[in-house]
Order: sequence, then structure tokens, then C-alpha cells
Amino acid sequence: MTNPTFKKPSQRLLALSTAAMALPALAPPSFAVAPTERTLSYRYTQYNEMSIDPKKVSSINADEGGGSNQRYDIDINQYAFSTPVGDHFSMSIDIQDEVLTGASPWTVTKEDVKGTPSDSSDDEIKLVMSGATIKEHRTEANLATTYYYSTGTISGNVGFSTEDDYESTSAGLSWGGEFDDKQTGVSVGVSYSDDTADPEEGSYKGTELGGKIGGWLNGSDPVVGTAKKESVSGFISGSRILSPNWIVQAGVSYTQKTGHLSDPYKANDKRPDERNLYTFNASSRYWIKPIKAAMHADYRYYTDDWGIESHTLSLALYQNWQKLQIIPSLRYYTQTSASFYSIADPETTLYNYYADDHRLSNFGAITTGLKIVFKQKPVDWILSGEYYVSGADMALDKADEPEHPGLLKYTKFTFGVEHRF
Amino acid sequence: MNPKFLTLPAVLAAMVLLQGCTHVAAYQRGALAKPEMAWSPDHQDATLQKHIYFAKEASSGGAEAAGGGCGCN
Repeated sequence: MTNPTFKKPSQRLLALSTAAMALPALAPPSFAVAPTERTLSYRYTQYNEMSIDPKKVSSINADEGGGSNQRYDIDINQYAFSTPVGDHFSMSIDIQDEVLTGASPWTVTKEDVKGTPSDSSDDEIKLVMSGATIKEHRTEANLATTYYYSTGTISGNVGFSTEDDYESTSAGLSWGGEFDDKQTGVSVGVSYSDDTADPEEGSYKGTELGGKIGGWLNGSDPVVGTAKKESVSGFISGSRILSPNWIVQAGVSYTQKTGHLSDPYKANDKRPDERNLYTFNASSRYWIKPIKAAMHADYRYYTDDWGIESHTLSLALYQNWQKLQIIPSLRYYTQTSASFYSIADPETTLYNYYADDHRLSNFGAITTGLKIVFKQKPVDWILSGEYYVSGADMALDKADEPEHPGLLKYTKFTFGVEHRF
Repeated sequence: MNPKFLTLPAVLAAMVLLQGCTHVAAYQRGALAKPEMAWSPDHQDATLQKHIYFAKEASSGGAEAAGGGCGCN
């Protein structure tokens, strides 16, 4: 007796759908299929950090052009080209060019109402800023190639980034395989980077900063010549199709950084020369058929041996509507502080390691975004905007330390165009 | 390492194992094949986002090849 609610697909339909799956446009994310068309794309992005409340900025260094309450503004141009090479290879090149202007926090200080350095817990913690004359130009290029075979891919990439006082070279190799009638995917990869910093512009060095802040400042980790650091990283992840509308992925990664990990631009910063980082990622992609939308959910747990733990949750809805794709997004981030971070206790600088960088503090952040893609085949036009806000009160774990005055807000607007041919 | 690090992978693995018996035939994978169902549909946007968060937050890394650093301060 046959089941009336289930009709076994005909052999012809199976043959047709199997052939259709070989087309790249119909391949699920876990599938390894070589691209058949070239893609040329461009993005222009304006990134603007909001000014700091002038009341939170110390007048220290003002006579040397510092004391600015301006943060960074960055203009970013991105160019990308990818092409199939024969039946089994693809190649891509990505170039990112940034011009950055503005000021950055050097350290913090406690001041009384007259602006005199103070150790009283009643007084306010203020930022000591660099001058607003920093101008940096950074260019990054990445070249990647992928080999496709019937049940997997092998990819390699090399990258190079250069700016006035920093250079980075990186390389990576990864393998992806498919099993169980291509319902399950596994990826494994390793990468390496070698960085060299030679801080000049924007550094507190050469100023009389130490004498002005008094006992608070212990100095940065001295850089002899140039500061070098290396990073080695590996990951493994697996994906699984759970239903015709749902696919999930999970993975872990490990990274070891060694070398001069102190921030040479900070005036009060000495960090360990090794850092071990661990992450766990989980992602879900769900197709909501009634509204023709793809729901993206991504989570990352992060921990390292500097005492920092973080959680990141990102959600996005890819809503199709006629020739438009409208993508609202939301990201929540929370981290604990590094074990050697403090802005409340000057005595911390007597320990082996210390830092007052806001990025190592206890804080949370929310990013809200909206992106609109106009699909006019073979060209897509892209517009997007984002707003990022961070604060100590947005963190999951509340710390005893006061909020760092350097925690930032920024906006990011992007215009882009993508041509497939 | 914090034992919490293993909790979420265990939950997800259990979920996948429970669903593991479901077979989705090739002809049923049309929705999964849509570009907006990719792990990272906009490569350039993802690259820039990763770069900004790397420069402004203390966490980095994930289940993908890491790139180089920058002098972002």
C-alpha cells in the first residue's frame, strides 16, 4: 500500500535536480562548485567616529597641538575582482585603500576641577589625546585562489598591508570537504601573519607628556628599532543541512600571537608578549518561505589568556521585495576587561603588565544597520548605513571600574556597485 | 580554559545529531542555494566589518582564515 501524502520523485526529476545542483547559483553554502562568471565590484565607505564630550578631555598636551576631542574619520575604497580559471579553479583579488584623519587617546589622567593632576577617587578620569593632525594612509591587497574537485575545495591566499608606520604580511591555506550526499561539510584551515610596527606619527614619544601627568604614567613598552609580532591560527568547522530551508554551521579556532603586543601608540601600556585566543562559532541560515526572506543568526564565544571573554550575537534578515533586497541587521557585543587593565588604580602600573586602553575595558556595544540592494541584472547597486554605540552599562558583566571615557560611537555609510559578467 | 567554552558546542552537536537522520534530497535544496543563504553573502562588507571590529574591540578570530594585522589605534 502506498502512502497517499508522499510521492516518490521520478528518476527524471532526480536527474534534473542533480544537474541543477551543479550550477553555482543553485549550490547551497556547503557545496563546492566552481564559479562560472566574473565579478567586478567597488565600495566606497565613510566611517566617522563621534567627537568626545570636551568635558572628558584633559588639557594636557594642548600646548603641543593635543587636547582634541575629535576622533577618527576614515574614507575607504574597496575594489574586488574574481574570475573562474578553467573548469576547476577560481582566482580573486581584493584591494582596500583607507585614508584616516583625527586624534586618538594616549592615556587617561585624573584631574580636579582646576585641571590639576589628582589621585583623589572623587575626581574625574579624563582622556589625554594626541593632536588632531594624524593622517594615515593604509593599503591592503589580498590574492586568493581555490581549486574545486567533486567533493571539496582547496584554497590558498596571501595578503599584504602597508601604512606609514606598519606593515603586515599574511598567508592562509584551507580545505573544505563534503560528505553524506553533500549534506555535511567540513572545513579546516591554518593562517600566519608577520607584522612590523615603526610608530612615529600619532605617538606620544618626543612629547613632555610623562612630566605633566606625574606619578600616573609608567611609560609604554619600549620599542627598540621596530616592534615585531607574529600570529599563527587554525580552525575547524562543520556544516549540516537540517531541512530544505535550514542549514547550520559550528566551528572552533585557536590563535597564538607572539612578539611586541603592547600598543606603541599608548603612553601607559605594557602587555604580555604572548596571547592565546580561542573561539567557538555557531551560525544558522533559515529560509522563511512565506515572506521570501533569509534569516541569518551568528554567535561567537571568545576567550583568551589575558582574561578577556566576549559574546557576539548577530542577526540579519535578507528580505526580498521585487527588485530590492532590504537587510536590517542587529549585533550585540559584550566583553570583560583584560586582567591587567585599570584606569581607577594608578598602582596597577607597578605590576608587570598594565594598560588603560578602552578596548581592553569591560564594555558592551550595539550595532544597528540597514542595507538596500537594487538588483538590476547584471549589476547590483548597494547602499548601507550603520550606527555603533558602546558603553560600560551595556556589558553583561558589570565591573568595579568606572566607564572608560574613550568608549566610542560611530556611523558608517557605504555605496557600492557589483557587476557580474 | 573556561568549561563554558564546551557547553555551546555540545548543545549544537546534540541538535545536529537529533536532526541528523533527516535526508534532504538535491531537488529539495533550491532555497538553500539562494545567494542570500550563504554564510557571507557580501564578501567586501564582511572584510571591512571584521577589520573595524578588530580595531575597536578586544576579540577577534573565528572559523575562517585570519588575515594580517594593522596599526589601528
